[in-house]
Amino acid sequence: MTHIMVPDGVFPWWLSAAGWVAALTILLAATYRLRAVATTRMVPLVAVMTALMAVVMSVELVPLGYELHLTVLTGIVIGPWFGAIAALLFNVLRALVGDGAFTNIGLNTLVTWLELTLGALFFATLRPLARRSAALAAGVATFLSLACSTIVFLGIVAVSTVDPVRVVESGAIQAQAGGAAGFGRFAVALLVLGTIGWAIEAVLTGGIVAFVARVRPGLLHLPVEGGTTDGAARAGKPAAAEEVAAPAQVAGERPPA
Amino acid sequence: MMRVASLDRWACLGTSWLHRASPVAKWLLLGSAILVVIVSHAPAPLFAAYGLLALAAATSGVPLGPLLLASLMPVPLVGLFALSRWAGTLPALAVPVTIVAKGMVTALAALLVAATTPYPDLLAPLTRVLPPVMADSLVVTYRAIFLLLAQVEALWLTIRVRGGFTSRPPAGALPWPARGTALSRRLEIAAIGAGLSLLRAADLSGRLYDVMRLRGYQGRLAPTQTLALRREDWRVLLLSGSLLAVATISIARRLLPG
Repeated sequence: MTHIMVPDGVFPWWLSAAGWVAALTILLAATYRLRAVATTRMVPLVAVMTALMAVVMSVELVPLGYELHLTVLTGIVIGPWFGAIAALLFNVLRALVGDGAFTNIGLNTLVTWLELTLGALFFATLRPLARRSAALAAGVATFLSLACSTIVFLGIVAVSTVDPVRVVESGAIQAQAGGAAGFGRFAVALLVLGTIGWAIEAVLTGGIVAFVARVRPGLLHLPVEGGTTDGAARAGKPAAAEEVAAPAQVAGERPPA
Repeated sequence: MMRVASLDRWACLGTSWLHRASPVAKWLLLGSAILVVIVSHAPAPLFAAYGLLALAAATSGVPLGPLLLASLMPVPLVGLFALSRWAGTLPALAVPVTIVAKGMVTALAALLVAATTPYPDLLAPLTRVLPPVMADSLVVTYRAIFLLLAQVEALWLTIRVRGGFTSRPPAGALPWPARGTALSRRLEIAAIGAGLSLLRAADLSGRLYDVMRLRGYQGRLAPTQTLALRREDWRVLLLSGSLLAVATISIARRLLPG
């Protein structure tokens, strides 16, 4: 789902504020976990993955009301802690080009981070499968991660107590929650349309991961034939993949086999 | 994301009153628009704010059509949520209209600021408050978008030129027996293209970051102009004031009886 497509001023202020608090907590945790990591070599990779999310975002599947983002691919490549930075920057950039609510950047960062963290986690869990079929592992990880983040998104909408009908009619900002029927319709529509979107994104992510696994498996923390990373195979040049792998190990992730 | 490339071009090439205004004034404008969106619970003030922003766009030399079209982008995405809040009656139609209008006003305000502010000025205030790793990532991300776009465009052109998405007709056959490439093959080509672009952009981005650091980049962007408010910002401040007036009227109409 990646982000909540709800404009400014629709969610109650306390929910948006809670989103900011959650996002700042995640970013503080990420900064703490990355304090011992040489971030210099990771900055370009974080930037490219964030840019990739921003570029792919323009592929809007209008009939489904769904945007592709490749967040799971980002999570697989840069891990959850650098992913927290990517999630924030992505949402800031989105808002700056008119595709998001500024007050909901915190909530959106939370949802995006959850999506890429779960994606990385599922892919790591499916690593034995990934060694045989990286595309399948990435596709499954993407589908599951998107499903989970959509449920979180629906939970946020359910928690919100704003009922625009009563706000418009009575002018009361603290109106009661929207009718259960309205939320039910929304949830069903989102899950039905979302499932199609998740499937499309899973296929695309799987295709990209299959290609990267063949060409530069170190980027995905997958083993390379001969027991080395592709980066090491590139003569005379520091292996970017190895540098990418290092922070993930420091951050407590499973090291590449 | 072609939009980013267009916005960047308009921001760098424009010389209008909005282009010449200080970045702080334009951030204030954006803040005022967001305030209107937050406090408005009816379509009228939102349409008024949208009209004011559209007027500013029309007089700032930015192509109005593409900008207004881009501001409609959130409509299909917000639409589903907005419709779920509709009670089904004609008077209640104001609710989804209000929600969609909120999205449009924020979008137009952000686009207007982005289309009239070069990115070093737009991002400079952020690089001063963010931790170094985030500030660096933000700056390199913005450049990486263009690197990635260039890679995608070049690759897309190559695929088209080499007939990647269309199969050739059999020898001696007329052109019309040629059929489009199968969907699975198209997906495979698109995925390989995206993967290839990603790897190439990662390499280029790493090189760009090295060059930036070699040339003295130390985590803070230098804006092209002073960030402080200036006398010639009066038109932007007037526009911000008008938006604040709309917000005030919106609050007053809600709070005052009758």
